[in-house]
Order: sequence, then C-alpha cells, then structure tokens
Amino acid sequence: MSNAYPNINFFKVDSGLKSWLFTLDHKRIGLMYLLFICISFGLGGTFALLLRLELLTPGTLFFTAKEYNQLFTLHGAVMVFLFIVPSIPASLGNFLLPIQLGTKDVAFPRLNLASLYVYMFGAVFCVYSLFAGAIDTGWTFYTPYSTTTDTSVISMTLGAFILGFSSILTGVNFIATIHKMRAPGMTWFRMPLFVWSLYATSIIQVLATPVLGITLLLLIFEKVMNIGIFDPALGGDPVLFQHFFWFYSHPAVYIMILPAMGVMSELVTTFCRKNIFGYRFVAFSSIAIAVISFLVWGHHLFISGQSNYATMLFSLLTFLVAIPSAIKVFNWLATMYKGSIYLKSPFFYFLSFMFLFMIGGFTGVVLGTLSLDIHLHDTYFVVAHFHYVMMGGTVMAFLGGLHYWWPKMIGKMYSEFWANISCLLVFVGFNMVFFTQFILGAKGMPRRYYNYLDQFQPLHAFSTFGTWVLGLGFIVMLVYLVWSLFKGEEADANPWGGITLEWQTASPPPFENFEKLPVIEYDPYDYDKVKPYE
Amino acid sequence: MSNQLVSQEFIPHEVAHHFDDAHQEFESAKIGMWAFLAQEVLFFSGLFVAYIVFRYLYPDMFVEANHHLSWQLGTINTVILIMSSFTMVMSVRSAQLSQKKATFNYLVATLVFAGCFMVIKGIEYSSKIQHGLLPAKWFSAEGVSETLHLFYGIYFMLTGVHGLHVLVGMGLIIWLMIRTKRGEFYADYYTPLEMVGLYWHLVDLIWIFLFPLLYLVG
Amino acid sequence: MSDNHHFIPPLKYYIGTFIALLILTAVTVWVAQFDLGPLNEPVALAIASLKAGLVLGFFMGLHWDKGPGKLFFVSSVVAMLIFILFTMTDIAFRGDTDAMESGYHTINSPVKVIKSLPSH
Repeated sequence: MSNAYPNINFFKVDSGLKSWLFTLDHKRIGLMYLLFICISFGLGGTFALLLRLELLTPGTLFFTAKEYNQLFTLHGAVMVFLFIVPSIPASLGNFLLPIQLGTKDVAFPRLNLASLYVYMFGAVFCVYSLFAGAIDTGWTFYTPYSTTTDTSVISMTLGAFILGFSSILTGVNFIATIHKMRAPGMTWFRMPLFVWSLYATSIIQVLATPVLGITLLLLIFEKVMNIGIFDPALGGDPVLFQHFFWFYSHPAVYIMILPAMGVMSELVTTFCRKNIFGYRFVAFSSIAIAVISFLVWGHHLFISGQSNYATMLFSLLTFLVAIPSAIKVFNWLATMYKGSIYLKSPFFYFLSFMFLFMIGGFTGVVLGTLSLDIHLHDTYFVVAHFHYVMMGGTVMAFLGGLHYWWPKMIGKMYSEFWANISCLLVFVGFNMVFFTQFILGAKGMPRRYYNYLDQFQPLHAFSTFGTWVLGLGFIVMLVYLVWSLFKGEEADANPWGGITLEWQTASPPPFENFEKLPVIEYDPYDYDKVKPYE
Repeated sequence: MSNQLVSQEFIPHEVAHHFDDAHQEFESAKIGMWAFLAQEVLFFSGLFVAYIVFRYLYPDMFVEANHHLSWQLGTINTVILIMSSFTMVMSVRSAQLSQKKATFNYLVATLVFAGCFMVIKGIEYSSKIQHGLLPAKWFSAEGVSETLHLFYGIYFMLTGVHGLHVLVGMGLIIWLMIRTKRGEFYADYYTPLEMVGLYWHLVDLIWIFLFPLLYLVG
Repeated sequence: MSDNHHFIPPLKYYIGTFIALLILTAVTVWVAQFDLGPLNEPVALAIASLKAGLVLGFFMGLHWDKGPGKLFFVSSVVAMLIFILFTMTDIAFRGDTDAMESGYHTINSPVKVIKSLPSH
C-alpha cells in the first residue's frame, strides 16, 4: 500500500461511498467531518433564527413558552456539542496536521475513523432527542430542573456523552502525532503555530472532556436511580452539578478558541508576508491558556450561592486567563506592522476576528469582575459576550481557515468577489445581532426569557433583523463554495504565497501528502530565508 | 533478531505504512495510551469529588454506612487485583522473551483473578440488595443518619463504573489471548499486550484508592 | 533501537513490587483499626499513594520511560486535585456568610430512621 499512489491527488486514489466510509486517510476524514460540522451549524443556526423570530415582539408570537425554551436549548446544545467543539480540530486540524508536520498521516488512522463514527453515533442520539420530547433545560442541563423535567434529557445527554469520546479520541491522536511524527529537522520550535494550538487544544480535550462524561452520567443516574447528590430534597447539592458541569465547559471554550487562534497565526504570517512576531510567546501562550483554563470555572457560578472565598478566588484567576490571549493579539498586530499586506478574503476574516474577539475578550474581563457580574449575570450581556468570542472569534477564524485552505483541500478556487460580499454581510449582520445585545443586557434584559418589557422591543427587533443579514451571508457562502466544487477554477499549489509545508505540495495533496517527505531546515514563517513555493 | 522463533511459531508483524519503523510505532502507541489513561483518571475524578464533598458534609453518615461494608471482602478483592496486575506484567515480560505459552498462561491467570474480583463484587452487591442498601430510589433500610442513601448512591456509582472497566479489561484480555495463541506477540512486537497491561494497571490503581476510601472509613 | 522496546526489566523489580504491594495492603488494613483522629485520612491516602507509585513506576514502567508518560499522568492528577480543592473552597465555606446555605434542612429521606445502631 505504501508507495502505490505517490503522485495522484487523494481524491482520485479511490472512489465510491465505501472508499470514503472506510477510509483511513486523514484528509478524507477531515472533509467528512467538515460536512457534518457545516450541517450542524445549519441546524443550530436554524434554531437561532427561529428563537430570534419569536423575540420580535413581547408575548407570544409563533411559539409557546415551552417551545421557546426548547429552541434556545437546542440552539446551544447543537452549536456547542455538534458544531463548535469539533469545528476546527476535527475538520481543518485533521486535514492539515500531518501535512504541516511533514508526515503521511496521523499516528492512529483507525482511531481517527473511529472518532468520526463515534461523532456520527452521538449525533444520532442528539437528533433523536429532538423528536422524543425535545429538551428544554438550557444547554447547561442545570439541576434540579434537568432531573425533574419530562423532556428528553437522557437521550440528549447520552448523545453529548458519546460526542465527548469523539473529542477525546481526536485529542489522543493529535498528541501522539505531534510528539512522534514530525518531519526530520522539525523541532518543537519549528512547528507551525497552528500545530501548537492543536496541541494545547488536545491537552484540554483529554483532561476536561472526561469530567463532562462523568457529569452527564451522574445526571442520567440521578434521574434513573435518584442517587441524590444533586437533589436538595435528598440531602444533595444542586450547585455541585454546576461545579461538575463547568469544570469541563469552561476549558471547553478554550477548546473552541485555541485552534481559531492557531488559524489566526497562519493567516497573519501568510497575508503579511512576514515572520510571526514573538513565536515563542505565541506558542507558550497557547499552553498557558490551556493550563489556566482549568482554574477559572467558578466564574459561571458567581451568583449561584457559592461561598465568598470561592468567588473571590475564581474572579482573580479569571483576570489571569485574559493575559495570554492578549499576548497573542499584540503579537498578531506586531506581525502586521511593516508587513506587506495582501488583502484577500481569508485576511478579511482575520481582521474581523481581531476586532470582534477583542470586544468579546474585554467583555469577558468585565464579566469576571465580581461586582459587575452581580448585575450582568444571566442577562443578554453574557449572551453577547460569548457570541463575540465564539462567533466573532472562533467562527470567523474557522471561516478564514476554510477559505485559506479551501484551494489546498479541494483543488479549486472560490469566487473572491462573492466571498467578500458574504464576509461583509456576516460581519455587519453579526454586529447588528450581538452588539445590540450588550446594550439590552446592560439595561437589564434577562437571557433565556420568552417574554420581555415593551421598552426592549426596538432593540430586540433590530437584533432579529441582524439574524436575517447574517443568515443571508451564510447562504451566499454556501452557494459560492458549493459552486466552486464543480465549476471553480483549478487552484495552484500555492495561491496565497504561504511557506508552511502544506503550500509545498500539490493542491489537492497526493495520497501520502508529499511526493518526497520534506526535511526541515528553517523556521516555519521565515520569509527571509524561504521563498514561497510556486 | 530471533529468526528461528519467528518462522516457527510467530507471525511477523508488519509496521503500518505511515510509520518510519517499529520503534516509532511502539512509542506512538505508548504516548497515545498514556494520554488515554490521563483521561481515565479525570473520568473517575468526578466520582472522587462527589465522595469527598459528601464525606466532608456528612462524616458520621459515612462511618455508619461503612459498618455495612465488609472490609474482609474488600481486602480480598484488593489482593486479587494486585495479583492480577502481577500476572499481567509477567505476561508482557513473557512476550518480550518470546515465551508464547507463558504469555498465554499469565493472561489466563489475569482473567481468572479478574473474574474472582467480579464474583466477590457480585456477592457484595447481592448482600446490599438484600438489605435494601441502595440508591435512594430503592433504598429501604434502617439507619441513624438521614442521608445514608447518598453513600450508597456514590458507592454503587464508584464500584459500578470501576467494575465496568474491569469487564472491559476482561474482554480485552480475552482478545489478547486469542492473538497470543495465533502467535502474534514476540520479542519484537508485543504492543497490544503492553497497552492493555497499562490499562489494566490503571484499573488496579483506581481500586487501590477506592479500597481505603470505601472500606476503611472510621 | 532504544529504551523500552528491547529493555526487559529484571524480574526482581516485578517480584519486589508485588511483595511490597501485599505488605502495604496489610499495613493499610492494620493501621485502619487505630483512630488517629485527623490523621486517619492522610495516612490511608499516603499508603495508597505509595502503592500507586510502585504500580506506576515498576508495573507500568514509568521508572524507565523516557517519554512524556510521567508528565501526562502527573498532569491528570494535578487537574483532579484542582477540581477537588477549588470545589471544596466552595463547599467548605458555604455557611460563612449565610447560615441557611450550609448543611441540609428537612429532606425527604428514604431511610427508616432509628435512634441508634444495633450492635453487629
């Protein structure tokens, strides 16, 4: 098998459904993940559109109160578990990690395929739960409501439990790959920063996700056997559930943002034709974020009844976690300074991230401030904050990476004109939806509320109009990307002039990634010593 | 390399195409397994936190609950698992020395010990069921402490999840026994044996902590 | 090649660890019959940790391993300790500002409450 197909691009090696479903090729697995992730985004986005539709006016419009609760729960659960946690690592990460390391595949290709199957299996449970009495607890499944409600908590949490294993297996695979399968000459400090970010992400995936697993299992057993540890009527503590849940879910948000930050480092170096400013700072800050992320979960519990000592400890540590993120932003900015900027669609996503993630990050520090959080907790301010970091951050970077690596993965170019239109629509739509929500939250509008005071209506309506602009942006994107699959111009090996290893092989890459496995002699972004491969 | 041995009773192992050599393959597997074990530790940690929280909150209840547990059975089970860990590591060693029969026999011993552990667990569980010492839904025993059911909820979760891991381990050992019989493991290739061994030792490790926490309170 | 792939630890390490584990188990049970007050749990956990160290070092090979196995395992234990410690900063100090927040108040217990335990 090994040298049977050295020079043919990986799409042509074999065809038919079976060759995809039983593939061991990380590139095909990455693309299949990409498909499911996009479908999940569409599903989660549909729930968002619907719930915002309900919020056009106070009182009942299209949905009952219970249905509204189900909508925001499903929006959250689908977006978090099916879309954003796997988004960059499973799709772009799977495709690019071995290529950026200069090797033939990940360490455990069969485990890779298994993680895809596990993802699909978990997704089936989640989709089933939609039809079996859709859950209405919020994606956070807080007790005691989740233990007493009659909606499909068990099937949804089982689905999330299974999805967690997909995440863990990806993390295990990436860790082994990065440790052991780097090309000759690629020391740790010659790895691309995207790889560093995937490594840090994998650490979190491996250490945090099992706690979600046991938490959901405990929740299921609480419902089935009345264990009682979360039930005050049996001597238990419902806030304990929150500790358990957020011990995973806070590091999880760094699973979401770290790979996005990795993509950012790739975009800024290529589109500014310049070496990254402060490589080691950016690399170590990824690890620092991974470590500190485990120390701050209690900031989700500030007003839960947690002890005062715990709140003070967590607030202090939350300020700490902002520092490595800020270091990265400064380094990207410094990389742009005196760079030779090549303004193309992926870079527009980079710029969107810079602006939107900063707002998200700053408002995170605002929320981490105890005295402010007392007023802002569970308001739209929180909703706006996390959408700025998750969507303004991760999704923008995901889109930037998708566009950047699209010609590499597919071998075709998309329409630059329509890509810019879509980026503009997404950027404008996003701010319409979510900047408004900062204002709503600061004025006191609670989150997850079906009904609201009349004075909030103009802001709510404006936010809902924004979702239509945002939705239009994504529809345009879907159209031109799918169009490019069939009618797009053939792409060069290196359409953007990057110098990391993936640009030194064909678009799409051959089955074993390189015609000849590379030997590394330079730093990954050394534009002084390396000229872009033609 | 022992060529005569290889041609007689063993199937030579082919290194997977994406690895440079057998050494990289083995080291990668080890790193992957240690990452997986790290994950297992965190999986159990949730249960340990639940234990610690409620032991802190209701210390007397824990002492009382402990009276219904047999420390003798717990001790026997601890010794059984330690013995199974020993036979497991001896099985890996036998493969390193290309001793096919010894590899197989040590695996059988490990399986037998694991089975004994589960049987004793079963005896303990049936005694609890008989006395109604169960999670709150089915709890029906007498007690001084009002919160006694919490201990049993945690007890069944802890030992149940651990027991599940023992069962999975038993399945893996049977798989290894089949492959050993076929001659797949010898001095130059025994990776699956070593990896399952690591898993098995972790199962033993967890029990080493469970034993004093559950059986030797007060 | 290198380290573990062809390195076979001398048998004495396995036998020695096995015997040590059995002895330490006996010690654990023996010590448990004495009430050491606040030292009860730390002593039990210390002995368990010693046993764990032996299993990790010699049965699982970390003593001879040059790879990141030690780092991974230690990281997982540290993460677990953080989980325990920080959760306890909440649980242990709950009632400090509001008495209603500590302990439990009137529960629906399934336990048939009796005054004292029958002597076994």
